[in-house]
Amino acid sequence: MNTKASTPAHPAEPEVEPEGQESYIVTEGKKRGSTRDVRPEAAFDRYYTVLRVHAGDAILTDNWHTNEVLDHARNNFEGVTFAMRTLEAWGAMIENDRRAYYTAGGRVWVMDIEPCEGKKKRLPGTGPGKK
Amino acid sequence: MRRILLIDDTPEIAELLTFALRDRGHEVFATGYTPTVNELILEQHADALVLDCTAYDMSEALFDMVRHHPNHTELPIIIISDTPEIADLSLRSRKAQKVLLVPKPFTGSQVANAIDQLLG
Repeated sequence: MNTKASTPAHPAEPEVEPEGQESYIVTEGKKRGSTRDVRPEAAFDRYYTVLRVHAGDAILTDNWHTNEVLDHARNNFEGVTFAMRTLEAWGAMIENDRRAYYTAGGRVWVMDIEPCEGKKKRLPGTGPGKK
Repeated sequence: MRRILLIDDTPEIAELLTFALRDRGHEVFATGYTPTVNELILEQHADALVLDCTAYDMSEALFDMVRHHPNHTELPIIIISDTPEIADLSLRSRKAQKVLLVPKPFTGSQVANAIDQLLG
């Protein structure tokens, strides 16, 4: 409902400046339905290279949505070294030093990972346009 | 589906954030820091803007540029900041509207939720 009058009731009064928002900072904490929580133990200083993203034992249906989600996952993760915390922040659940799981498009994808000493350039032969 | 313009000067984060937002059904156009932000908003018909610059004052400069454009005074803006308290004070001093701060470290869903909150 619009509560603003089109003309001020008392023209002599100065215009009221718009008030700012009550709060600007998005509060921390679990959002309903979120699968992207970061565990406190997810370290900033441990790194993993994502070697491959695949469907594990699942048989994939060949349709646009499945292909699109897998392509996105590959393009965004394969060959890239991430801090453990970054990986978890984007939804990966790290099971151990060799395997993580990532939920996207209604499916759990498997990530083959390996520990890495630090950030490094993306592995050759990975990324957009590479199959 | 909403159209999101993402300005992020860390390509890897831009990639990941793009993916996280696309995962939530948004169309995302990502680019690095650019002073032509208003032109990009118009070109991309952006419904919301996400700013993640290395330094908060870079994001703030872009925020001011956008807010000074007559068509973008109410464009929803998400600013990702590693100094949220300072950023909060700064936005309060501006009596800023339609803007939310996501503190670092952040998750893709935090940004997506903030967009949902501003876009209703």
